[in-house]
Amino acid sequence: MTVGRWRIGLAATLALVGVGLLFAEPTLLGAAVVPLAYVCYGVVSGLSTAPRLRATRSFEPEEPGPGEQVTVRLHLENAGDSVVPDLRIVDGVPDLAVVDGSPRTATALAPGETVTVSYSVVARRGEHEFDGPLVRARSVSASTVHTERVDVATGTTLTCVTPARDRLSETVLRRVGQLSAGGHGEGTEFYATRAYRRGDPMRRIDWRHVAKTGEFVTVEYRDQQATETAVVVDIREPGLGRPAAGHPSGASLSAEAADRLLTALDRANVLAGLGAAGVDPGGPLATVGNVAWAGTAGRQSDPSVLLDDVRRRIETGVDPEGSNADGTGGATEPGVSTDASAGDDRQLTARVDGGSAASPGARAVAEDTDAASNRETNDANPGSAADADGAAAGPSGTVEGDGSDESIEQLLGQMPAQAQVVLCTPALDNWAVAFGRAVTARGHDLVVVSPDITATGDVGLQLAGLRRQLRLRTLDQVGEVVDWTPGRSVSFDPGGVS
Amino acid sequence: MAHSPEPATGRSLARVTRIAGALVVLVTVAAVALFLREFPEMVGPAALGSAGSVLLAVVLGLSRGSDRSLTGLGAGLLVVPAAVTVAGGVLVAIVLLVEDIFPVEEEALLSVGWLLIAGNVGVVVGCVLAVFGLALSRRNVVAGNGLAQGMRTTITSGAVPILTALLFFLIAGTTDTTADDAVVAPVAGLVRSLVTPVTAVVPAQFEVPVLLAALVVAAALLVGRLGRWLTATRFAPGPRTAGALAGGTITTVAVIAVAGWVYERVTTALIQRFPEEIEEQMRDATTTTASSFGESTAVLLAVVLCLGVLAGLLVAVYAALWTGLLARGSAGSSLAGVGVFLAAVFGGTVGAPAWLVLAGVAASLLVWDAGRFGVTLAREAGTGQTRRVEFVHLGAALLVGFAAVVVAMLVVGRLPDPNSAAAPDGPELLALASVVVGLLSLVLSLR
Repeated sequence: MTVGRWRIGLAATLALVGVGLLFAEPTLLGAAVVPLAYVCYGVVSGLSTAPRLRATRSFEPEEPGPGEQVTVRLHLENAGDSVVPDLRIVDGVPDLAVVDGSPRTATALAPGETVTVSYSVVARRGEHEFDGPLVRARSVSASTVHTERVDVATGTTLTCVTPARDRLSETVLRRVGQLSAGGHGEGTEFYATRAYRRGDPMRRIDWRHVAKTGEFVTVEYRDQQATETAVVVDIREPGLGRPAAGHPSGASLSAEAADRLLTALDRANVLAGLGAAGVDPGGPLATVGNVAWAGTAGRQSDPSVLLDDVRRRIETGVDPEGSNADGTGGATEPGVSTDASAGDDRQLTARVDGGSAASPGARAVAEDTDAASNRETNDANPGSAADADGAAAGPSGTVEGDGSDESIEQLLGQMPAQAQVVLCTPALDNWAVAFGRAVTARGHDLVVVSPDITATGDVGLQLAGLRRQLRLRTLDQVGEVVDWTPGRSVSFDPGGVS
Repeated sequence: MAHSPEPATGRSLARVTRIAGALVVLVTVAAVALFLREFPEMVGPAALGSAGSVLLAVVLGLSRGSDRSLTGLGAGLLVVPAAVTVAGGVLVAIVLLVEDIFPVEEEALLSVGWLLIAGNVGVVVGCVLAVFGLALSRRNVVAGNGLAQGMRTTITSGAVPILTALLFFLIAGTTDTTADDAVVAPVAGLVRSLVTPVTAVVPAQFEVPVLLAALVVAAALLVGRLGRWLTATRFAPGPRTAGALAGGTITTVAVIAVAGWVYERVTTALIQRFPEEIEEQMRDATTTTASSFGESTAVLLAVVLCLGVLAGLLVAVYAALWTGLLARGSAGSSLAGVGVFLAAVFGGTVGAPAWLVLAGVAASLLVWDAGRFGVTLAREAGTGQTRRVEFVHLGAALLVGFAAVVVAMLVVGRLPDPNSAAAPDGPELLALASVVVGLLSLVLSLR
């Protein structure tokens, strides 16, 4: 396609000729050669043929987990015989956030030469189809333009699944599923000593006692019993925001963690059930209030089905078969970001802590969110000294603003009495702390798995990250905390178990 | 697909690639510097006009900002200074040239004199336009609705001195007194009576800061009061409009306050540049004007004329954008190219050396092309690497320009000197022009 880029040269030529004649000035007439030369340049320079390009694409890693960064490399080769002096390339990225590099470039390609476009995206669960790159070639003078989409030989689909070697599940499972019970057995916790009997293993003899007294005694240990484990996933509103466009939300990563643990616990036959906090009270998921529970007792319900419904709720912002509380079917709730937009950052920051919102509107949202969070955690304790953003600092920088919460009570009422509890939560507000205290107060052992979505972000998110660390430190005092950054190492910090 | 090839947001239109942007700036600045070096007496007027064009670009930039009273106030405060300096540069150039050229020895040389003035002023206008284009291109303030918003701010702010000038003119025209006596003097007396107690108690070295602070506070209170009153009515303006009105009011008051001093200085400087034979007549005319209409009225009317020049410039740019002569994304660099072209053409009419005229024409086309290329490339390539493409395209354009200048120099060198006895006459020039047009037609037919 030819574009009239050098029409300006025509105008300049005519202007110079006219003025030159008017003023009888030969210099101006001679100057008309200059724009005329540019016009000729635009006419003469063109693309002899449409460029022949070959494209391949690769992903690293090839099968990432949700939330991981994937490096995409697009290789474009000039398979023709002529130089392409001006080639602009835009790769066909699906709806994934580009977090590093750019899928666009511009270059000149000699015959046989290859250009590589490299950029990073954040993976989301599922299969993502990449379109072929859109290329636009121009002649040297840019007076001829050719646009086409190039087919890609390899690397058209990015598949995001749970990794085969799941370090998160391995780390958590080392701490759940086994409990020291009463009575002696084959555990590792000391129970009692008794007189040696023939046949007792040599390794059980207390040799120190033998050295002191000359008597042979055998050490007995507590019996280890497999214990039920309940997984609770926090999908309340503070976790629904995304740290940046295209990144997974805290709730979606919590659901991802719950998914991995459900599989591993079910395989070990210690799964008690799955609970979800933050469902729509009027929706079909809810069991009681805004919580849902799918227990495995009697196989009356399937935790994996509940998890699928939960995941759908996170993606769409509604209950899968219902509508929002305001009656709009399938509409996105205010502040629930499903589109990659710049407003997501502010929404998340505003939703998280209230102190780092980017705009007055976002701050108002933050104040409402934290007021709601305070109401959730302080219903039974209205006198708790919560500060403006709901995080009353206790001694040594821990978080104290909590009390009993109706949703917490409802959830605890659903699960077995002796179950260990694994809470999957982004810990973006104090509900997780309240839940942890309530769980341990009832005698359950607690493990908290918290995906970190504040690791990379602006100052507001970093501030939210600091507050999250305070909450995790508080939870560390009542349970064990696994701090998980998707795509990076799993940080496990064993604390005291009450 | 998340990444489309042509994001058409205002923000992306504002970017230009680094090498192309640098080339636009370097070539424009070099061309302007070379032309002013050739016409040294035009340096002062060109500098004055260029300062005004930069102020105008700031006005447009502020007008494109958020709808806040501060941005409107800032823009409103700069409209009159921008108008005065832009128009002032051209007027000063005319005055200086008139002083140099006139009186002429023969009546037949009158038209030559005016042509010389037109040519030199054309060089100044070209240089000022080039600087204006550069200033616009920094953030592409005409992208989106920036220019329309700037025109609204200019009109809003300029309405105050225009209406005031009209009022003062009517007072002088319909009564036996001038606005200076009827309005300005009583207000000045009131202000003096308010200021005198302050100057009596305040030490001399703090008089000016205290008075200025008092003036600012009073102005802020007045403007705030006016704004609240306007807000309560159905004609409530937006914050930016209110700010522009306030800015126009403040500058109008400032113009009136210094009108006497300005009138005396300007008229004295003008009269001194006229021939002695008409100096007395000029002095009488200025005295009569002051006594009939008042100095404030005369100065305000001059400000109105300057605002008219500014408005004319903005309308011309708007029309060029609206008709598509200028692309919105690269309007700044295109204007810079037009400015350099004008300087080259007008310089050629008043005897600039051939190499400068030819280089100026080539530079103008290079600036035009580099600006459009850089904006399009930035839009399509985003933040990706673009260096190689820029070197290829801009290098080729430079080579073509250089080759064209060399060929043109050869052509011009073959042509007879226009000042010699064997200068080409009409038919010869027409024949030369026909050759050029013929070549043009051939090129068009090849397309």
